[in-house]
Amino acid sequence: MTPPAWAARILTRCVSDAGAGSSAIPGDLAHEYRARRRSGGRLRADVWYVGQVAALGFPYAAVRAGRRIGALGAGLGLDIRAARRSLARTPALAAVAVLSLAFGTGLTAAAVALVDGIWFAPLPWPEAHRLVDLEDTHPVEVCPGCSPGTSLAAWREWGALPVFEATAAFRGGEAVLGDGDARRGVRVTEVTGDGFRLLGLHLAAGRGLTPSDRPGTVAVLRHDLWTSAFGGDPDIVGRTLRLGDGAAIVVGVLAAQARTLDRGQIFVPLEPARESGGYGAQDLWAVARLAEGVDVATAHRALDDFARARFAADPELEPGWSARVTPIRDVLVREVAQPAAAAALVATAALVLLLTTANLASLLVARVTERRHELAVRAALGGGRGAVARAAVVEAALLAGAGGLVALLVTSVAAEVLASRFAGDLPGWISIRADLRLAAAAAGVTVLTAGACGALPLVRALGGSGAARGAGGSRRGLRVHDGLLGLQVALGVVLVAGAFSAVRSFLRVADFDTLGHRWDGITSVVVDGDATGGSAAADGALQAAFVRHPAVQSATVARSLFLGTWGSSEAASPVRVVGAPEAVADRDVPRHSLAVGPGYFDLFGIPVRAGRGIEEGDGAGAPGALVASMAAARALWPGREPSDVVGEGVELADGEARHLFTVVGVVDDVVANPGSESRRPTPRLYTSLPQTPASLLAATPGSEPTIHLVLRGTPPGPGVWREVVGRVAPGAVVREVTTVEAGLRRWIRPAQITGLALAGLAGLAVFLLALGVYGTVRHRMAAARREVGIRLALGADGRRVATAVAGRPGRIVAAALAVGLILARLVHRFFPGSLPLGAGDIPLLGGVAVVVALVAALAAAGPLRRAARLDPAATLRTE
Amino acid sequence: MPRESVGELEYLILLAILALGTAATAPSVRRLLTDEGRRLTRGALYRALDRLGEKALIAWAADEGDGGGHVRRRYTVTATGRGVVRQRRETLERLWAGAAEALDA
Repeated sequence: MTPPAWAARILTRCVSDAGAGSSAIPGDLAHEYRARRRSGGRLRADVWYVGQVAALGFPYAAVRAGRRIGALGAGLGLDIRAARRSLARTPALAAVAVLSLAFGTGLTAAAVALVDGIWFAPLPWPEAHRLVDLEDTHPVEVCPGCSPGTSLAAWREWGALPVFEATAAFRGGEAVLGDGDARRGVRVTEVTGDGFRLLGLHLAAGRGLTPSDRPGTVAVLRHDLWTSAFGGDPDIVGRTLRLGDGAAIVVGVLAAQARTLDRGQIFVPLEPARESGGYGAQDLWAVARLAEGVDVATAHRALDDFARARFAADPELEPGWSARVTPIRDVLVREVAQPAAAAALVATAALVLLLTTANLASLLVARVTERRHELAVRAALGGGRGAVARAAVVEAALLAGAGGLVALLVTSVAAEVLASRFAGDLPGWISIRADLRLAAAAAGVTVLTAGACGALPLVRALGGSGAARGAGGSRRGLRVHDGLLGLQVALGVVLVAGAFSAVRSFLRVADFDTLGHRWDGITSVVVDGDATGGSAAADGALQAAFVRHPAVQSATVARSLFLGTWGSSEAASPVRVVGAPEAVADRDVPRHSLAVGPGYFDLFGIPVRAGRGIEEGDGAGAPGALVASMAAARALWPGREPSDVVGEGVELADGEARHLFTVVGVVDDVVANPGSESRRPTPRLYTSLPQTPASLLAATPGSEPTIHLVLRGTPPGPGVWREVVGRVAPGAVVREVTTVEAGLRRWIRPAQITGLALAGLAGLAVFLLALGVYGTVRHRMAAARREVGIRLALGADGRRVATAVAGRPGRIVAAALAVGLILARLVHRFFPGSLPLGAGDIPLLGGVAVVVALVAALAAAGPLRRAARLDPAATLRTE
Repeated sequence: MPRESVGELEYLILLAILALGTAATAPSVRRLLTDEGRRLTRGALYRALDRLGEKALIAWAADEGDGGGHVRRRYTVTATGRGVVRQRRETLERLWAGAAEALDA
């Protein structure tokens, strides 16, 4: 329980060569930090500690710096005290500057930390830059960018190529661990012998898998499974576990920090039973380490040439197959996010940083302009330019120091929140760590740029002579300020429009009401498919047993049914329309189909457009019933009305055997993947589950029965469903009990991460914009105080005077708004869909314009109200 | 005789260190003086300790206890420091002798 390391380091440096008292500060504060953290929590303790670093450490550092720069530093202590007093008199401005800097740079650095963690941070394996993914490819892809994996036969041959130093292959799956009541589903990764060595995985106990381990004999546990399922049993190594139908001796436990490629919980040697099959058995994930001095392109050429020749010689394989080498990071990143998301976040963060800089510069200019009289007086009293400038620089530096420190705290907390919020959803290889050097650099660049803008009017104010300094400096200050305000508003519009657009896209993705089916109040019980033997009768019995449960209103059962070929869209699918000369091409077939029990469409509220759904009568012995979705009907019978399709015949092939089904109905489309923004409906054929041959289901790996339930009242716990399943199919395991809603939320998780980050940045943009406008109007008032006083003394109406003060900023905001809207459209036009900047549609841009105008009006309201209420006599006296 | 002059705050800190004995750390000194009604910021306390150290009126020893990697310091008053405290006490007692009658009158 120690203070933030970066803050402790800063403090220690500040007081490193101080006296008997001050050098004790780090130790004393560390003690008090622990007490505060125990009583008030981490965040409070962190905030307190950072405050103490600023209050106790910075003065020492400043004085020491003053001593170092000798004569120039003489009086620096006085300047610091004067600056502190001066800022204390204008707490609002100081707070605005510090917060603006802190959140602008802090959140930007956190967003960059997220991008860095996924795309750029070193991967957690030794010499990870040499790790590559090997996969079979075909010109016609199953889906854009995806690969079927590779076969064991091919992987073995590739391992002999000299461009690779070592190779390993993995296969993910699931199994039941334990027996009796302690049974639980676990993710199992089968690994070839070199897998552990290739990834350099460290172990907490025992040993890793080696090439001499025989399949089905040994297992290595992931650290979290060891702690959750076995309570961190120190004697686990050597214990025999029941795993699926067999048993395995635990030979090792991975170290907590060991990072694997996938989320497997138990690692076992690759199963020999599946080693049969030629190049077509593409179910492995192959990884290699490039030989020393070989680059990815060279390795790719070598593998491509070799694989192309080998595959072409195999008569059972479609023509066109080859293989590719891809850097491992590209493959891993593909699983979690699109590259566009990184560009989006970085571009947005850069714009936020620019907005922060403009904001801070605007405040510093306001500050200098407000102090023009004081500067003139000091200069008139003999204060040299250097001394006067130093006082102003010290003040800016104090603001920057405080802002930078809070920025570090914001970065650190935001990165931790991001990491913990998405800990369960991100693969182990991703680590989100705040790069405080980056945050400090961002704060430094911001402060330097803003300081340069702020120094401009200062230099000019000091450059004139006599009384002209004040007025001249003021006018120049106003011009700089006008430019900054325009920049802020224009940038703000582009940013807010983009963020609104991105948030709207996210909301669209998160809107499940447009998926075409019911999703609320439905519970899914997933049962281990192998345990029921893929038997339709057993699945029907399961459905019947659930229907009888008093808590259940209705229940239906479904299994996945893959109707495509694995790998080549050019091939003929197992689907044939009766009367058509040949089978439907793989690319046109509704490949992700379902075998469903009676009542499926009612339970999910999917409207039947023509004919009927699957009913009780569609059981064994009755003619095969099939329901097509609208999209599937269009694909298989182009140009036909849904009602015309009813009665058509469809043959589903299973090797040589063909199973005839008759279309009994056409139903509305549903969206199976809510994570895609396009929300394209998924073409589907629904067969009657009791009539679907087990051999057809077996062609869909992992086609376990999912029982969907609509319940009355509060759903009972998983134990109840285990008992029901246990009665009907002893030995079957309930793999998961979840709601359909939770399942949908898993799909949209990646979009949610980006959406949340962008929403945060959008909120920040609005905040910075409000601060900027507030600072500008406040500054205007300060500059026009004398004029306002005279006008009020001459009897002018307070409201009119306030309007006059706000007139010019108002016009600038309006003009910048127009420029911003044009920019927003242009950016959107040139980078459509790739950057969350700008927007294309007029209603959204109109909304953004209203929001920005409203924010500007609200920010200006306070200072203007004060302008209208000024006491003319008092104002003129102080001037 | 010690000739070092100390201000009121420094004098109070010396007294607090003597009163706290082996438990005299900066936070405990601050707590004691605050309890006695003396408003004392951390910055003022550490600067006063710096001055007392420069005048060799206090010494410190590192406490390697549970500082979480940071060394905590326990202060003691040096012989010179004790002399200064005694001298200030004698001065005050002499002044009190004259002032007491006037106060009681």
